[in-house]
Amino acid sequence: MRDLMLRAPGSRFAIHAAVTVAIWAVLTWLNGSIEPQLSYYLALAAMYATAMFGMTILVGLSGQVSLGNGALMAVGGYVFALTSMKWSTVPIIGVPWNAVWSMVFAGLGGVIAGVLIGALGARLRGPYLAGLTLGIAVGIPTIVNRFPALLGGDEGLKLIVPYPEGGYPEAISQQEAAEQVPADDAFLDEFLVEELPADSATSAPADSGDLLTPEEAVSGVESGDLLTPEEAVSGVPTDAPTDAATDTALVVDVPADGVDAAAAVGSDFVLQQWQASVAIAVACIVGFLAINLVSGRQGRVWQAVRDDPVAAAVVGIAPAGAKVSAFVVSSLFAALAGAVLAQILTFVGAGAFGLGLSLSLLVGVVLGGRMSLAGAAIGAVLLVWLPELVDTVSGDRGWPDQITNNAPNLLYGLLVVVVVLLAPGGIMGAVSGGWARVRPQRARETR
Amino acid sequence: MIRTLVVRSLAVTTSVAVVAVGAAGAAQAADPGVSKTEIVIGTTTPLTGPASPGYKDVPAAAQVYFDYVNKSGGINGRQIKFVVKDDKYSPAETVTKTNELILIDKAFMLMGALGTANHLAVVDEINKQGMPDVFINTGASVFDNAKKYPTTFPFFPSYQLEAKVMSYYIKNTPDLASKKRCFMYQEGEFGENAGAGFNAAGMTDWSAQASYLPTQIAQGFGAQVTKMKAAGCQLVVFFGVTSATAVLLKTAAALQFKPTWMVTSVGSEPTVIAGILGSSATAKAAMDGMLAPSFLTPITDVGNPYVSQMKTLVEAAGLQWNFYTYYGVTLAYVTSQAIKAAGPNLTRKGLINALQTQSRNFKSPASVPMNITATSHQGLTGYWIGRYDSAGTLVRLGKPNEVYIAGNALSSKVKVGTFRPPAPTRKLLP
Amino acid sequence: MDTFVNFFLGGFANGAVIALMALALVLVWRSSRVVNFAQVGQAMFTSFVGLTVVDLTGSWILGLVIAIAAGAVLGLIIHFLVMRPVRRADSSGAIIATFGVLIALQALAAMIWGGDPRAYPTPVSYSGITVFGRVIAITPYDIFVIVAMVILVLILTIVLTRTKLGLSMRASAFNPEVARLSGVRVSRMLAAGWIIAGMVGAVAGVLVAPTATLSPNSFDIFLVFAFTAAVIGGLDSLVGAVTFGIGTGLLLSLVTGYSDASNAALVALILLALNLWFKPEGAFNHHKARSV
Repeated sequence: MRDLMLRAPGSRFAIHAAVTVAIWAVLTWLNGSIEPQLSYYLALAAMYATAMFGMTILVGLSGQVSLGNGALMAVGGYVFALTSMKWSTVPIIGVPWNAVWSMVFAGLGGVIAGVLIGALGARLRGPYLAGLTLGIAVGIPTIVNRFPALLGGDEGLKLIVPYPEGGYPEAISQQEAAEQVPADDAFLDEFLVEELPADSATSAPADSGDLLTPEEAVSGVESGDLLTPEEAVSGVPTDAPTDAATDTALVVDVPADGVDAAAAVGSDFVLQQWQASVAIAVACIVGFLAINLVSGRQGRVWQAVRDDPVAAAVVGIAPAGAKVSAFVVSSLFAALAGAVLAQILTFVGAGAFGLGLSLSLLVGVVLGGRMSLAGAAIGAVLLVWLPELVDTVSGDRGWPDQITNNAPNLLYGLLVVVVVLLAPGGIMGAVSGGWARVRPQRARETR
Repeated sequence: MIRTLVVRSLAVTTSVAVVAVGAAGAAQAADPGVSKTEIVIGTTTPLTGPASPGYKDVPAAAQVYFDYVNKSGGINGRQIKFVVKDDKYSPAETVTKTNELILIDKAFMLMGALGTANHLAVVDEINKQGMPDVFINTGASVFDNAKKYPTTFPFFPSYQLEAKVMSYYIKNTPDLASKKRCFMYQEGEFGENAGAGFNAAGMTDWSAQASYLPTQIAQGFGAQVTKMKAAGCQLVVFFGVTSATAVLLKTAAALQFKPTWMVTSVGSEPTVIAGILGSSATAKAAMDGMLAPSFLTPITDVGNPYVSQMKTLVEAAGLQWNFYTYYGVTLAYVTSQAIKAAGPNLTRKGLINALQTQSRNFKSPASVPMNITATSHQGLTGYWIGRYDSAGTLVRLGKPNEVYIAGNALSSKVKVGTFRPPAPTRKLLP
Repeated sequence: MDTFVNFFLGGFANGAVIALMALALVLVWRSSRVVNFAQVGQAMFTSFVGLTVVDLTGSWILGLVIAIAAGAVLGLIIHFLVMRPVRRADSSGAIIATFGVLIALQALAAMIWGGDPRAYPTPVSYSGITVFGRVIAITPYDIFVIVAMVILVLILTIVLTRTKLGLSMRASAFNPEVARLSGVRVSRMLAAGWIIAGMVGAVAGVLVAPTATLSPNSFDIFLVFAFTAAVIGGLDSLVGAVTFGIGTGLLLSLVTGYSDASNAALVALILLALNLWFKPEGAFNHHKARSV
């Protein structure tokens, strides 16, 4: 990979660099000028794009369908979380730990996982590879649950972001956190009555006049001692509750290290903008790597092997090597995306990297257009935008809950089908009228 | 590049904090999500997907109660707007939806957010916002940490506490103590939390342990039942979700395995079990003699003013009266009282104050004491133990109003005593 | 020994259902070279249709018959509306399309029948058989499932290898051009594959639903196990699907019984990987392995 980068013509390299920097600048400017919620969506889209650049190379260029890239993201996420929680200095080198090191190690973890799975996967054809990767996607949560002490089990590992310099001062397990709760049981005795008369079996009686009736359940309670609509609007109820208890509430203060300070930080520092800035930076770096690989010699090697492994072998390309290298690259990208996702969620856990995530990546890359990096980027935006779109379209229209709740899923499923039908090459394929190079091997793939 | 970003954002954070602390003494800006006429309350919960059965009814029932309060004039003149977001039980979705609640819907507070892993993913940000996060729908003890999570308030007692209560009850009931006991649990934090509770109570001598993955429910529990049957288990303690309990009872009946069952409070909803076993008659037969802890007044006790009124509300809205709707109305009822207690000038801080200082005055169908303080945010403190009779009713055991309570620390010891809940407020209004 | 026999029998009955789901996947693969993710969704949907009929009429058999009919119709609809148009796209597009169908079917089922789990009745007793005074881990219903599977496999084998329909289907799957030249109506044969797979899936759904629960997502896990079994078996092979379907059921039962549930999926994954390492095209695939 490294020597291929060097072989790439300098001018193209420079153009790619310039384009990448320009995209980074635009996205960074965008991030600074939009609402925090949009920044969050931007962070998600950039994270998806990072993983899906790898999918473009694996599924599009190398022709290997993977249902397990979500599991590879888990590798990156967990390595990021573990190294940042456990290590305060870099082993051997001895410099203080920081987020970049965690990203590097996450990428390294991805490469190792990619080599292992790729070596096995290179022997497999389409559906068999899909079967293997499906198994991996389902197996990862199980593995996480196998090592609860290290990986946090179902509850996962909690991250503190923004990432502190020099690692985490305190990395405590959920169990330890629970044990830190002081045992203050004195209050218990206040509640307990020694003996109650047997006739007061379940609860205190109430006057029948105090009970709500079925009619009131529907219409609400209308009576003199309640607020009038006018009072409700003016906000100054004449008979507002002014019992002693309420007054106490306003006097007693919460501990100073509690809500006050925290709320103050929350009011101006925008977590979502920070998350988006990390995600955009990683996506741009990965995108730059990807575009150079794809447009260079390695891109042609992958396509040659996909189109005709025998012919590729004849001209001196090792098909297995090409397939493994595609797997390793996509795994590296997935792991980096996983590390970013860990920071977006401020958490890593089995539930965040399930089969659903793996399938989403494939859905995104197919919808966007699996043959180009631009398609991956479009797919990433679609993955974030489509669920919001269907939520809006199928918003509450007074239908029964059973319908309202499920309408977004129905619409999403149908949309996926419709896009595949209308744009077989994805959005990007439809836009560019199909990438000429895609066509020859279609017949072969569907055999 | 990342590193510089980190450094810069840290610097920004620090300076903002300093400025904000300096300004804190000045005029208090209004909190988001509350005006003179409206309070916005948000929640995240699975409305679709494998985790949705049962739980999707909780916010629906809470909505029914809020509608009733709104029609009756609201709370201190404010109407409640309840925004429910479907997170499909995926932590990633929970983050997205919670961000929407904070940033787009500008919710004043959250109520009843569901799921341990789901809530862990968002609890930091919620607390940073200073947003009240009341009565979360999980029994993981990690959230009862007033120092770390000053705005978060769990409601029902933790799974650990439940396991300790079960241990206490088994050890002090000669009939049960003499039985060969086994433990079956759901893999993951649910089972782990329970296991930690049993260990803390010194109950480790299981004759056999079995477990299941949530995905296995569809295949039946043949292997697990065979294993426990072979070990000669006479008492099986089960920590799993209700649909798993139903399938376990079904498989056990098929293989004629008839131990005494003791099932977690969140895993024994009779209507769901009846749905899965085919008829309420089958369910009653299968559940006859099953022991279960509970913290609410029995759902079948329709003579109780809480149960009768809540049932009236739920059924008037066309929902099914079951544990989930009962629980949903209860959450909304107690939350409304807390909001009312926070007074006419509603602020987030005021609400947290009210919760920390006045929880003992809140009325609820809980049959165990509620005790929220500035240092302990756990709401309910214990359980009573019941046994299902042949009519499918959970009958309280022991002395009248007998409860088993404990502090939420792992080392806290279980105490037994009696507790009588106070009468509800007039017409169940806050 | 007793215990082993019980783990074995319970696993066998579970495996029979996985085998049927795997068979349905193989049938679609043979006819149109598509891995049908929607299979479990189709089976779930038709089971709900069957349950509705059982609830209305009280007849279990009628429920099964209507469910099978619904399976055929649903298979045909998906073939015509989705798969036939999508054939122009590539294989990953087709996979994604079936995935979209799965999501839509699950949402539709939740809309119509609600998301709560339901009970599906059994036609014969679901209570362990007593042998020499001991209750063993197999019920008359489990035997019913196994017998139904054997009959279904026999019928399928005869139809696919001994009838003109079966031969035409194979011909059009392996070489559409040649088949078309020899007068086979290829597109009809593809439709036939989807119809038969839909029917087999419907039977599998109706058979598995009574042993646990029926809800829009309750069959999800079978997608994984059935796909695994089909892949190890070689995707083209009915025998492979059945063998490894039952094998998967046995394995899950034994590992769950002797260690615990979380190891079961792990062992399944390791065996899947080992199997594919030594037999990259599946154990029962008769086609020559790739030369490269």
